[in-house]
Amino acid sequence: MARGYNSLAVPDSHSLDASLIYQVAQADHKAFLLLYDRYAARVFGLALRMMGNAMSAEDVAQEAFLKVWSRASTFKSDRGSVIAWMLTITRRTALDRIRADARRSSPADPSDPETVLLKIPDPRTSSTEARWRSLRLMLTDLPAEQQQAIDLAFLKGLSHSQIAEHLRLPLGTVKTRLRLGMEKLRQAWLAPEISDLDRSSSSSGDVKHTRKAPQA
Amino acid sequence: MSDVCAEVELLMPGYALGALDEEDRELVLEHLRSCPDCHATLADYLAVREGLLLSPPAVHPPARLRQTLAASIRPSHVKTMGFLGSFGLRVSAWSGVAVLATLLVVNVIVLGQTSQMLRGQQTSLEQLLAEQSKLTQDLQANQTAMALVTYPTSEVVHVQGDEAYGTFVFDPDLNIAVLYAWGLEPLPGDETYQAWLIDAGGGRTNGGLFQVSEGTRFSVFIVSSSSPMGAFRGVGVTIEPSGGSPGPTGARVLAADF
Repeated sequence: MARGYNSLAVPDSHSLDASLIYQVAQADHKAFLLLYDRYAARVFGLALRMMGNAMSAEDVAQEAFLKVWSRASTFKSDRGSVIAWMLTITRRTALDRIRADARRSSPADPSDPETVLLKIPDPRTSSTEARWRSLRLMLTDLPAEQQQAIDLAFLKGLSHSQIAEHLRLPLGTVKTRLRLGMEKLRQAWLAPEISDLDRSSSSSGDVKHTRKAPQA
Repeated sequence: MSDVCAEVELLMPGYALGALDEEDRELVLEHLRSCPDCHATLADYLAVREGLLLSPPAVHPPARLRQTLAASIRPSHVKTMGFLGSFGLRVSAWSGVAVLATLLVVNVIVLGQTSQMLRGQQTSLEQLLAEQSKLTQDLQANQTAMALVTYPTSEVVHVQGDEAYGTFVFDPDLNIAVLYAWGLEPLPGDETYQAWLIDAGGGRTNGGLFQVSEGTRFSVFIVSSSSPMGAFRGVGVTIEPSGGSPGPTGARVLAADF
């Protein structure tokens, strides 16, 4: 069964977003403001979480939306949903500021996974909502040290070695914590699909090797 | 699963989060180019990353952010929307701002003179309250018009009649608009001005009733409809019996095509 890489929004919402982003690419001001009205709280919420204060978060959100305005024509619907694209821009904008504030260089990285082309099918399965619920629940249940490692990587943009330095832990420990935490989240994401897979496998006996049970 | 797959899979979470150091990242990138299974695993982690993007609670930003963005994306100059209709001439929103600013000044002067006259003649409290109500309505209409004009897609249309003229400020997506008019005469008590919104088929929809105050030939009025203004192609004003009519029956005194 395929996975829903671009399934952050429900189908109707996805169609509306695609239409709006197309209009924004045509310099339609009203479409841009509608897009803003739909997702400003999400963008600002992420920026606030990453920056830690409202003033910086507002700056990040403003810059992110202006990037959406100027780069709308580069959006590719086969790479994901509009909101995922907007939040990715928001995250990168916030990380640039965090790194600049920390006087670290932040050169454009062509091998960044956010720029890697991945054509992942969009199944629109009925279990999409269940997946996100499961993922969010798991987020709150992660052990604190795993949550901390993920936050430092995801929200602060730190690498394995930087996290190890920040936490004064061995590099291997950091890698393990990050992997264990992400693996749990991955299993939470896959859980509804695994249930589907189990049902189909009971008749076909076909199991992919990437669908193993969590090891931690 | 090969040994390399196993090694890469351990690094995949960090790769999805952009947290790998250079050496590890090169290893993952190289392997991904030739391993569909690990590519599929990466897709799972990228989906998790998307979930992390949505995990912070939604928080509404300050209202000024929307205003700042709206101003930032607005063109530095607004093109004049050249359109000559049988009754109307469409002008730019900025021209509308200038017109409205002038109207506001005129409005304040006229209303101020009216207030002085009322005080000088020691008119009744009821008259003052009525005037206050009118001032409030005018103020609301002015504020509505100013709000409309600041919206990027607002439009201003000149309305014209034989003896009167004015402007009509509207946004195609909104159900309200503002009509400014000069030269309309006060009507006797058994008559009223009635605004009509005209659809593409020529049908008329009631836009509301209004009166013109004695002593002033300038009036402002909020036109409203159950449908957005974009559903109509024009506006008109006729004189109707007090209480209004289901359809226009009297003389047309103002009209404009959108």
